[in-house]
Amino acid sequence: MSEKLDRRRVLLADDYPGMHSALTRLLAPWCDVVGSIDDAARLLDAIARLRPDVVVLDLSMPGVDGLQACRQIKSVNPDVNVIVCTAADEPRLAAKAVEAGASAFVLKCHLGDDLVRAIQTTRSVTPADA
Amino acid sequence: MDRTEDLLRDLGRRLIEAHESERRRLSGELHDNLGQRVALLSAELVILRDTLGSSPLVVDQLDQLLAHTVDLGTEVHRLSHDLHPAWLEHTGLPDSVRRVCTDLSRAYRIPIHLECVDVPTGLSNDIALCLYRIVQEALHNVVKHSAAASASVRLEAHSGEIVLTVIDDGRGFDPLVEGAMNGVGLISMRERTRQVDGSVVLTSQPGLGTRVQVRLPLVGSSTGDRRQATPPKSALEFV
Repeated sequence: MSEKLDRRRVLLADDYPGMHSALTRLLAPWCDVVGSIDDAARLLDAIARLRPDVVVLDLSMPGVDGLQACRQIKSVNPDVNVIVCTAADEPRLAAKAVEAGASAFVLKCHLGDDLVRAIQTTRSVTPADA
Repeated sequence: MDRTEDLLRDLGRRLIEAHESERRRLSGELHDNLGQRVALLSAELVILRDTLGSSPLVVDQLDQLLAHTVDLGTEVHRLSHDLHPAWLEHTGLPDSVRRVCTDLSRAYRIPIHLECVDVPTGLSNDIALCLYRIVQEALHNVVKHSAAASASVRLEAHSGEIVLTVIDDGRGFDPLVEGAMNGVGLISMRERTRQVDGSVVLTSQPGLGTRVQVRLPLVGSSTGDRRQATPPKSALEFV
């Protein structure tokens, strides 16, 4: 598909059953999935423990404003890249996600092809790699 | 008479609330369940394609399956959004209305022009949802029944009110013909505007298109003055 990633550490935040398993298998050739959570309230704690380079965040997790969660991640962990995933193909929403600090906006039905590419893109903007 | 009017208003409010609640439930089911299953399916197809990547024929067929799956996901989202604009609060009324115009314009191959002038960002949910639903209903009538070559939508806020105007150049109709104004869509527009103290005027003539104009008072929005006008007794008028 594309050149092998430098084993980025990825944390998955998605509450749909089966998504963690599928994304872990999808990403396995390219990066390390270091954890997955289905409760956005534990997101900051998980980031502190697992030290991911990238968080793949489902914007529609229950009980939390996904954009606000993205802002919180970036304010506490500015070096962590956030890739926002959503089923909503809304250009304005993509702009809002970028304003909230997201590195990329991936539509869920394009996850298979676009997620690895999005993770690769974050590599070039990670301060540690600069 | 006032008591009857109050009862009718309350009944209308409850009907609209029940309608919105059911739409929200269906929309959530589509988004949270069906949409997620389609996303999962597309991810699994990519994994399968990458696993069986040695055969160009298999890869080609899996790519076709993937394309159909992506189309299915797009359609599920469109239906979900149609039923309940979950992102109206985030994206705002102008962008949400733009989405409706673009979707219908593409689906029915009819130019729909949108103009938004001074629309406040702090619109209440009631007003934003009311206007959004009326745009949906009015444009649905345009593309389904009017045989119009083009249509336009204008949203403008001024002097303490927000005015929505939807115009088409289609076949129009005679509002005085019995039953012409009794469609569920038109009744829904009337009830929705009445709930937010607004008015709707529908103008049409055979061969001369149709114009729907909705005026809602802006109460407590970021740019609107408080309109003190008495709510119209009969919210649906026609000229």
